[in-house]
Amino acid sequence: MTDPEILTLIQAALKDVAPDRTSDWASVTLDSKIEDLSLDSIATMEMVGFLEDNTDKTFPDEELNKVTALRDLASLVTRGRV
Amino acid sequence: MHAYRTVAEAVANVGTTVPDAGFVFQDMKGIETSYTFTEVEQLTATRAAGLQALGLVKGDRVGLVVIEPEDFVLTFLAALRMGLIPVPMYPPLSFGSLDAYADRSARILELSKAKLLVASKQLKHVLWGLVDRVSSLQRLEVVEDLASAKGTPDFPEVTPEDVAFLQYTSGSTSDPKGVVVTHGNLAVNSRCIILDGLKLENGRDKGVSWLPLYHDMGLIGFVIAPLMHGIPVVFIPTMRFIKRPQVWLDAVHRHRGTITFAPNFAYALATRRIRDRDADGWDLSCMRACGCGAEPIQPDTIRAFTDRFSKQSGLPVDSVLPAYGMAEATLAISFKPVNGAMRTRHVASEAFQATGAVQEPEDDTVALEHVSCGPPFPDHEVSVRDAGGRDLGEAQEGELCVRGPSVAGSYFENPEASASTFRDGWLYTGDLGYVLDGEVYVTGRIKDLIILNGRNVHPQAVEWEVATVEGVRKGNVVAFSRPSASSEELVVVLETKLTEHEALKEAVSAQVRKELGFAVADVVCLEPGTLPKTSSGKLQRRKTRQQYLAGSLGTDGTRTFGATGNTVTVAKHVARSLWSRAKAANPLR
Repeated sequence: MTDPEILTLIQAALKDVAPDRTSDWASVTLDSKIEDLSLDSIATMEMVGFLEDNTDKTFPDEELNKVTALRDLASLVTRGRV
Repeated sequence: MHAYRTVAEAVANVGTTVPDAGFVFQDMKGIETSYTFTEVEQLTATRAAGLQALGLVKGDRVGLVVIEPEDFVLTFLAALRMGLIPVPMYPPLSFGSLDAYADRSARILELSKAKLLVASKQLKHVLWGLVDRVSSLQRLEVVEDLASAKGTPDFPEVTPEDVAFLQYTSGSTSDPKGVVVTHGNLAVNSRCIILDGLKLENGRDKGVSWLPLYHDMGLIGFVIAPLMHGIPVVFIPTMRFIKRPQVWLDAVHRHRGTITFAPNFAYALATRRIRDRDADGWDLSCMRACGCGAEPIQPDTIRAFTDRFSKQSGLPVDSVLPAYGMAEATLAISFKPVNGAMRTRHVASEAFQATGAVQEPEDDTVALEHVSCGPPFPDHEVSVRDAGGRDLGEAQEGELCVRGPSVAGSYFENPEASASTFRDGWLYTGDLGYVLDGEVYVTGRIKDLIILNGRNVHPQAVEWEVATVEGVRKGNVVAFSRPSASSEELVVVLETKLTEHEALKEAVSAQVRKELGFAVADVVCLEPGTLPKTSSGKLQRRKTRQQYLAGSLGTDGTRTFGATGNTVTVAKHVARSLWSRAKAANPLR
């Protein structure tokens, strides 16, 4: 997957878990920090679940531990690690 | 079914009476491992031998930080058979510098004077530092090593009076307090849950749970109580449910589950996140009780869940079962009767807010909707009391107090906290509520009450009114009081996307005045995302109030976790979330 494709997928994930903030999600980039998304954490984990489902992968806990920005999630999708 | 007096007795014998029943453990990928109760007996004996080889003796405390449900359950039960006292603790999800996590874990181990810490292999490196830090702690044992222990355990006699485990409750501002739970407490509460409340039958019923096992609703509700009565259970890792809520009801469908429990939020999550294609082909007509506890029950959330899945998957509409309980009462205090619809009561808002009196609303007046949690279990009493400890009788709000054989006697080595919570055989719960027609209604926490000119005001009632005002972000309103010259004044803080705040403030004040009859002393409008919330998204009234009084509201940030200067990772973010969920799940309220 290319970066723009992954960003689109992440935006779809965000829209799925927090549909009332669709306008916010249009402006996120791969450099956006997880903590700046102002998502509650159950929703954060739901987002990870959405990405796993739609890429048919399971991200290892120890790799999730290193994720701070959306770009790190993108690395998990493409390379299986951060 | 034989009535076992202790958990140790049940583990040793239950397999002989229900040879086909047992536990199924799902892992993170959904792969399932099944054990009959006879196999559970053998596997726990092996682990008991491992604990014995470490030199532990009856009464020693053992910290337990174990991620995998299978390892947790088998080790916990092995410890109980040896008369050891496990201290279940939540695991960190991050392997980074979770200083607060380590501090809290060290404190619990210190307070419980634990000799041993049993941990998942992958946590070894995170936790080994605790051995040096906690004076009582002699060593850390990797849980996986216990599974391959050799030797024969020499089981001591375990009596109903013996302490089974310590259930530490949260205390964000104070020290954690360890509820002392005896085998006798567990035997009684298990009977209440399985027989009196749920009326389960061997050969018919089966539990399905994704609840964390380090807290009472998951541990007592789905490990101990079912085991003591030979009821099979399917366990799903909590994180797997959070990532994919459909795995919960999918397990119910595939295993023909009849009993599950979850906090209110999980019913909302399932309704919102499960797609039609996930539910395709599900038959949930097997469900007998979808228990709901651990946080305030919102009737609309529950109705949305049952509406959808009754139409789509045949879920019995009446299967939702509101429940009340807390760790200090072992687990459960009252359940809605298993046969019959969820009952809610409409109460006249004005009288209730003014005096706590429960009255029928007149037409066209504002009503509050309260959910019945059913009558207390047999041999248990609920008394509603005022601040002076006087019984208020029925139809009057006060502090819910509980007496009966499920009530724990004390907090571990904490006479001060024990004396204020457990008085003359009564547990003072700190919960507000009332009893009507013998049924328990829970209305809030005493600490959150706002007192305006001598009238008790529930913050939820104000927040609910404010949320109806155009431009206010739903679910993002906090009401509390600030000191005034004479008494207290009402303050409302809300989030809005509007930039014109003056008109909104007036509209909010007008709405509260019109519907509730209170003057609002101050309305604060914040940008979305700035109200203090727990990492799981629950509003933090007390923190909002503290920030307001300190003048830092909206500047501290809230869901920004960078306050400690550490980098925040997804895992840490989620670890916090689970922890706050776990705290919420602790009292079954």
